[in-house]
Amino acid sequence: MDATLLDAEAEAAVLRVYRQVFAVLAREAGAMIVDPELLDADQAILDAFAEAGSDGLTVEQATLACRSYPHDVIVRRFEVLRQYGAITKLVDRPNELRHRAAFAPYVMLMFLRRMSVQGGQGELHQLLTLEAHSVSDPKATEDQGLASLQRLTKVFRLLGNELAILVSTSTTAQLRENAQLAWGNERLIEQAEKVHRIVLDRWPTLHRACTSLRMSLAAYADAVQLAAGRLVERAGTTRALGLLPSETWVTFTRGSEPDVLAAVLDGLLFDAASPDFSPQTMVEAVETGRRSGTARMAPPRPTSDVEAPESAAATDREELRAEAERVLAGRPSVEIVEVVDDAGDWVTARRVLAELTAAHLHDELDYELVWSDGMRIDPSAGTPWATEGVFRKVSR
Amino acid sequence: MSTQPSEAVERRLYNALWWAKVQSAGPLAVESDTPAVAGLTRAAEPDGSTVWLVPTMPSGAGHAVLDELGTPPVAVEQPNETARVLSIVVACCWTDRSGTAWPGAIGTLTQVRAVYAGMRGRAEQSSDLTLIIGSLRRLHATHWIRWNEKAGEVRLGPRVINWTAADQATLRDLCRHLPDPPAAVLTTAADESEAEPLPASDDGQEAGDE
Repeated sequence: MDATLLDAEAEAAVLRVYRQVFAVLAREAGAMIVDPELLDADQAILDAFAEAGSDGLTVEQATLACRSYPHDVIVRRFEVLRQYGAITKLVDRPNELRHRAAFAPYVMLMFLRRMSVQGGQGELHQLLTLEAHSVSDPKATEDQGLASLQRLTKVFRLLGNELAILVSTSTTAQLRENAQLAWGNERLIEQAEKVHRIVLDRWPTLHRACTSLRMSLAAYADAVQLAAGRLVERAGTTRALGLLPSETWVTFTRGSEPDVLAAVLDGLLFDAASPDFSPQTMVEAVETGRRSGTARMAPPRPTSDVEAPESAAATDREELRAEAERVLAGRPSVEIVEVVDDAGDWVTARRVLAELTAAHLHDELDYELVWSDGMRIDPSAGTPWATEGVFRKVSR
Repeated sequence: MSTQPSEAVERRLYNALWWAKVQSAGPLAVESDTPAVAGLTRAAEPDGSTVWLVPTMPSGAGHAVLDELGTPPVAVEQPNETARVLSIVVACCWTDRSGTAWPGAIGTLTQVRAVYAGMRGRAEQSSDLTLIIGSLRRLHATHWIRWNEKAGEVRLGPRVINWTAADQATLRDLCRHLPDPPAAVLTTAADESEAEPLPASDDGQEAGDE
């Protein structure tokens, strides 16, 4: 059996729809479908019943007819089908061995298979066409129009909700798997709007129901837009190619005739292979060219290195020296009390003292600030309390 | 009814023919009365004798896609040096920066050499000329510039017509950062109008042969 990824994907799609529909039933019957083969087994059993004619089948006959499947699988599925009523006893009495199959489950199975191939879009299109047909029927009543609108509103609400929830909660991979919800949305919305228009023209009193249909259509369109946005965003670097699995492309290139391959490129314009110089690359090239140029220009020179970083510290030092000389005013030393009184108020004196302290601490300046024990107290002075001390020049 | 589809088919065949030519040779110089071709921008020579057909990609479909797909771009020798020389040619030839870059003015090799030395921030070296001439030839072969080796004159090539407004803004900025070129001293200012078409048509044939 040559199973490819594509086959597996198709099977997964069948299974997904089947699970959604039969989850409730299967839970009650104690048998969830966990394998696409089981679906085939179901079909084989129902096929066998179709072949059997009006006599019906016993379990043994059914397993014999489906001998390409394992015996116990068929028995189990037979049980399950019987429990949810797809297969019933020919006559309802104890010890009745013969069974008959109902036609509805088979139709359902066919319907599911079709839906899984087209994602239900085909059915939805047909439904919309039918609705348009029935509301434009001259014998249609207002109630029928209302029912139509309500059905469509529900369908599109479900569709939109599912998509919106997927967009907001699921991973991109999940979203991509469910992308069929967004397929052909424009056409669907267009058809629904046609029904809406017909109903609104015929029965203007239904405008309330029409509004809710419009709202559900808008919600669906929004959800599609969001989903597409997220998919395209994640497809990102590889553009929309990311929307298809890469396997599909590989299969296409391997299995196509030259004509088909050529047709893909039909209508695409190619430039001759040539180097590209985008403005950005030009800017970068010029920038790097300039950098390498200056690097070659200026080898490290010790003399210039010493001069350059000096500037800030040097001006700082000269400012301190000037301040110290201003305070000393030519004398070899000066009393701090005098300096404080000269400054007037404390705010100025504080600044002067800070400068003198800095001059004292500066290792390149020959000044010294020496504090003594005394304290001058003079209520009439600008700074009444002043510690005594001396600021003087020292020679090192 | 019957003429409609055949006309469309003819139109497609006509386009396909030109697209095939462009795909193999790059921009093409054609007679100015050649009908327009979809997807190819027409860049008229200043004298109006010929028209370049330049393939124009929609935004997001050009070389940027190669980056996104992780595919190496078309290789070019000394790509950085070549890009620098192209920038310098733009600075020399795009004199009217308020307008589009195409067709631009004629620049000279002297200008290019002066700007190159200015960009490098040093006096000109003998190896510079080799690099510049090599880059000019490479750029000429790929239609980025038109380089007349005999006269030592250079113009911007038809490919620059694909620069968008954003590209031109970037390049304007780049030109401001490059040193200003000295005034162009054309070899024969009077003959310029007559001398111009000859090298251009020669170049077109050369490019076609390559």
